[in-house]
Amino acid sequence: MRIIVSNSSPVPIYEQIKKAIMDQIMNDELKENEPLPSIRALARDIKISVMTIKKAYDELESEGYIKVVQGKGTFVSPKNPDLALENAQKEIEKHLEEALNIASRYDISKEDLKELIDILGGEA
Amino acid sequence: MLGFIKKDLLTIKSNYKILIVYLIFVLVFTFQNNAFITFLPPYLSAMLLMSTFGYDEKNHWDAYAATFPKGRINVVRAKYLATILVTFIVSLLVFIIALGLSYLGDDKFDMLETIVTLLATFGVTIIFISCMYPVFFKYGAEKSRLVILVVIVAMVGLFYGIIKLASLKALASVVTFIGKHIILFMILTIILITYISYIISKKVYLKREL
Amino acid sequence: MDAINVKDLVKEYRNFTLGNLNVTIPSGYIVGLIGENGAGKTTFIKCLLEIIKPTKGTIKLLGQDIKDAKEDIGVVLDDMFFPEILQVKDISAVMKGIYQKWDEELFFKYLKDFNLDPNKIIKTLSKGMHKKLEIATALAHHPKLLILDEPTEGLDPVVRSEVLDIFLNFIQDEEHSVLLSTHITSDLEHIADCIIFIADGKILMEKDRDELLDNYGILKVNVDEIDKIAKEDIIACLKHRYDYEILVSEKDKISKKYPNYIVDKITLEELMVLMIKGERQC
Repeated sequence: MRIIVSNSSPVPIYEQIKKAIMDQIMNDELKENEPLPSIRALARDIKISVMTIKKAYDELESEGYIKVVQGKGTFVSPKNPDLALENAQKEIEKHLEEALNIASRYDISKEDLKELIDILGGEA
Repeated sequence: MLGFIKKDLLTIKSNYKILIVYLIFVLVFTFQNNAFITFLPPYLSAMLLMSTFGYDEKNHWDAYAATFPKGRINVVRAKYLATILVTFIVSLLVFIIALGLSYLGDDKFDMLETIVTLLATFGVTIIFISCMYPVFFKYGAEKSRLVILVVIVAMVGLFYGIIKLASLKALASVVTFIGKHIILFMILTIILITYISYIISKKVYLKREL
Repeated sequence: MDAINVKDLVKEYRNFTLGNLNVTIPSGYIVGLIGENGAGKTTFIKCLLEIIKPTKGTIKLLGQDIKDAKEDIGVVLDDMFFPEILQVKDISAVMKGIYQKWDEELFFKYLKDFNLDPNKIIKTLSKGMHKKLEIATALAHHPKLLILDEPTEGLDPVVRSEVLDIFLNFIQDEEHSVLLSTHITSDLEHIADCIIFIADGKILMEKDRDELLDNYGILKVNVDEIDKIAKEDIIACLKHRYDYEILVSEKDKISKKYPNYIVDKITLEELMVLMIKGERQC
């Protein structure tokens, strides 16, 4: 498992951890039923408070990415393609919202914005 | 509590400079005048133990020790026990040495007199300690320095008074009675005074802000 | 079980009063106590350990009365330790007779890890070495709760990070907890689960680390634009030559509400300064 936490990023640390694990589940670096490190061990290894890790794990569990088996540990849940799609959409929405914000601040019209997307998409 | 006693003994041991002075003192006086051998060693031993209060205070050991299991009460117990034990053992050693010396030399060895002298020295030392320790436990070593002088003066006055009283005719029968049971009387006095002192020390120390 | 449970604690002095404090610290976490010098951190810790007697209030440690919990508590106290004329190894000889669970082997292992010579006289140790010795002593009887007053003071950054590792290792056991006071707040920024902020004898803030650092932020506004900020958004503010630094909560909302201004992440140190020195309104 790979986790790198940035202290200067505006993204809360628990979200960085959550996203790192989510990404690895999505691209199959973490496979179904693979065990994750315990909350306390991970806290020690990346020097982050226990509660922060716990928050990340709790959200991952409630969103269905991982499952806690009492007395045994935490494991990666079976991958759910719908869930992945939904999350991808959410993320895109977030970024577009930001783009819209910037656009409105500088009076850039929605048409210009759409055009920009087309151009970027075409070039990619 | 053993740990606390050990700490006091180790403190004395670490302070080897004072220990050397102590030994020189004892040796010099012993060669000059035999009477000192019975007096000096027990008294100086108690003084050494008393000096540990100062080292404790300097590094706030008392406050630290209060965080240990039964910390406070054992600090008091250990100080009394260590002092009494060391003074007693040194007195015993002096007795054995005196006994040995009398075998080697031609001096007539008066068993009773030696015991009484030793008990008196031991007793005076312990009574001195008993007067001092409650003050130490209440105010700390630094603030108690002046009190040491006061206690010494008071004790000299007290003994002078006792001797004066003893020479009064009205008390003659009491003095004779005590004279017959002198050893028992001395032992009981020492135990009583030490016990009262310990109770007071315990009471003030358990309440003290460290 | 709660590691520390303090109810209505008050300690009155002639010119300073600590309290009324209510603190509950669950087992399994690292809790940081921050505040200025003289805010009452040490007084609070001394009350927890029966070094001084509270004027009123009840304290439970590890679910028990203080005196019954002491076998399971390890302490590092500022400026309180063994007589300095003793040797390092003497500590083990003494502690064996004090704690039932004193682990001589563990103590000497820590000495080795910390590069402490057992034959040295305590007085000759450098400040950092001395602190390490205090920490080794606090850990060697397998305590469940560590209560530490300024445990990283005087340590260089490398050693500080080693010491923080020790604390993170210590709470691998879910029954273990750490309460540490410090004014080096960067130590706590990552490893503390909860922060208790004391000012002038009272608790100004008691929050989870995440809630604090992810939620609060600093809004920076030019001096002439201050009236564009709604009063209810200002928790505390500091005026500088060119700008205002404004402490805000829910920083994501604030940055949406004021898109033309910068909302920075906050550090514990900045939070402390703003809360203590800042005005309640601009």
